[in-house]
Amino acid sequence: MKINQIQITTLIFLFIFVIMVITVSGKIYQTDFDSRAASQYYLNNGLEETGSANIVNSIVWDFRGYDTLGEESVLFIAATGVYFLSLALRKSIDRRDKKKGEKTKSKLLTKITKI
Amino acid sequence: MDAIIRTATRVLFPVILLFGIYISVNGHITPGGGFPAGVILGTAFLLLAIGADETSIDARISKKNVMYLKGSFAIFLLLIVIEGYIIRNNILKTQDFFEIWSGGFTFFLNIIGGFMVLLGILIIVYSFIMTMYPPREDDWK
Repeated sequence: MKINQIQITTLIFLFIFVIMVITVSGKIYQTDFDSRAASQYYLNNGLEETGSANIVNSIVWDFRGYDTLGEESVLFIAATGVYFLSLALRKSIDRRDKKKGEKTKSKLLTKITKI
Repeated sequence: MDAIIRTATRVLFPVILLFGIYISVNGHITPGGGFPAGVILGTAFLLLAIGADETSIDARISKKNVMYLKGSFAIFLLLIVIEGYIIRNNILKTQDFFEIWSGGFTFFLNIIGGFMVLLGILIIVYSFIMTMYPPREDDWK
């Protein structure tokens, strides 16, 4: 039996996945460390370190600021994707209408906005 | 669009805008923050886009301006996150807890992050409007 490249890569990824599952499942059942240390630290020192009374806001924008920066960039990338998708959709609508010889709205979107 | 929707959106638009700005500015004391404020402001503009006429939509939102604004706000947010670790303690010394001028650094980030979420939603709303109405030839240049 001949083994090709795709099968080898699949085997490597399966191996890595099994190793990750074993490691993570070992960590879950460990009980000798305090799993709530980080949240207790935020509750105790959040007001003094960030100055904001809203503890959720201080976690989101201060303690985990880089996480929020990543979320904002994800939103930006999603919005840009929607924009270029709509450019392509509009171009195809334009082409279809030129075939028909008349300009019409997209039927689905007019139905949505009429509600 | 219908006259009832048009009039209702004209009445509701400044109220929703004011509420969104309040949520954004007061986010470090009361529940709220940058993300909900941006979504509320985006809802105001979505209502405006639904209630407007076909001819007046292009005058209100310009797609190139929205894209440039979003990019500049992204760079501004990156700068303020990096800068915060240098000047944060100096700002915190001048502030009192539970006041408007508190929260150090989350106060600025709430406002700028809220505007970034608003501009992201504006791009999506403008894309939907763009597919709704028939294209013109000079849009493709």
